[in-house]
Amino acid sequence: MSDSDRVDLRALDPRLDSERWERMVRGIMRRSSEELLRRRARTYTPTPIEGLVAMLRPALAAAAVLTVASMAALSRPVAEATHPGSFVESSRLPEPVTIWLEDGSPPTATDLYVSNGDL
Amino acid sequence: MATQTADTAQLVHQARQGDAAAFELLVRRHLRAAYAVALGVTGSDADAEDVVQESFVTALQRLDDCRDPQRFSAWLMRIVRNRSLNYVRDEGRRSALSLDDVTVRSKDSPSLDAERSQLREHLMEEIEHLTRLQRGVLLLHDLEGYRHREVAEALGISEVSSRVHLLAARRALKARLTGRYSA
Repeated sequence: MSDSDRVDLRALDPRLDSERWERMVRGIMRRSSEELLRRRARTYTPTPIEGLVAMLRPALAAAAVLTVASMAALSRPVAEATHPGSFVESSRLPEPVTIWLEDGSPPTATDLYVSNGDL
Repeated sequence: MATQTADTAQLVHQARQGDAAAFELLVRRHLRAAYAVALGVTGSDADAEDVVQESFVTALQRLDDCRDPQRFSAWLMRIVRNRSLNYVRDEGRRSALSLDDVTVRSKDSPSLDAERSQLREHLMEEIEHLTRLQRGVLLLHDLEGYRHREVAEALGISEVSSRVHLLAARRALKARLTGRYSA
C-alpha cells in the first residue's frame, strides 16, 4: 500500500469545529434522555435496607393502627368503660313493660290491667 | 460514574442501566467514526449529522442486542451504515454534496477559518466523485485511523476489499485534487 497518494483529510474532521461538535453531542444526548430515563427506572434495585423497610411497611402500618386504637381505648374514663345497659333498662319503664319488651311477646289484657296500677 | 479511562464494555454496561455520563462518553469516543461512515454513504455533511444522531439513539434503544460490548464500535458502525443507506434510499436524498450544502454548513460554522473552510469544501466536492464504498473506506482509514480489519468489519466487506478500495480512493482523490489545483 502506497502512502504517497494519501491526502490529508483533517479538514473534514468534525471536531475541528468545536461548536458544531458539541452541538451534535448535545443533540444526541437530548434525544436519548427519555430512553436513558426508562433504563434507569427499569434497572433500579433497592438497597438491602430499602428492601427490608418495603417488606415491613404493611406490618409497621398495622402495628401503628393497633397502637393508636389501644391508646385510645386505654385513655377512655373508667365510667365509660362500664356496660351502659340495654335500651330497655335505660328507658326507665315500669317493670312489667320492660318484661314484655324483653320477651318480645304482646301483653295480655290481664297484664295491661295489672300494669295500669304501676303506670 | 463513567471515567475517561473506563473501557468500552464497562461503559456499555453502565449505559444499559441508564447511566447518561457513560453513554455520553461512548458518544464522544465513537462520534467521529460514525460521522465518517455516514458521510461516506450520504456524501453530505448535514445528512451525515442527522444520520449519526439517529444512529446513536437507535443504538441506545437496542443496546441489549449488543452481544459483545467489547466490540461495540463495530456493532455501532453497522447501525450507522444501515441507517445511512436507508436515509439515502427512503428519503430520496442525494448521495452527493452540492456546493450549496457546503456553503450553508460553512455559514453555520463561524469558528472555521476561511482557509480550512475552503479546503473542506474542495475535499467534499472531490470526495463526492468517489463511490460510496471508496468514501467509507477512505474516511474511516485516513481520517478516523481505523485499521483494515476494523474498516472491513464496520462496512461489511473483506479486508482485501478494504485495501483495494482505499488504494483506488486515494488515487482518484489525489488525481482530482491535482487537476483542480493545477488548473
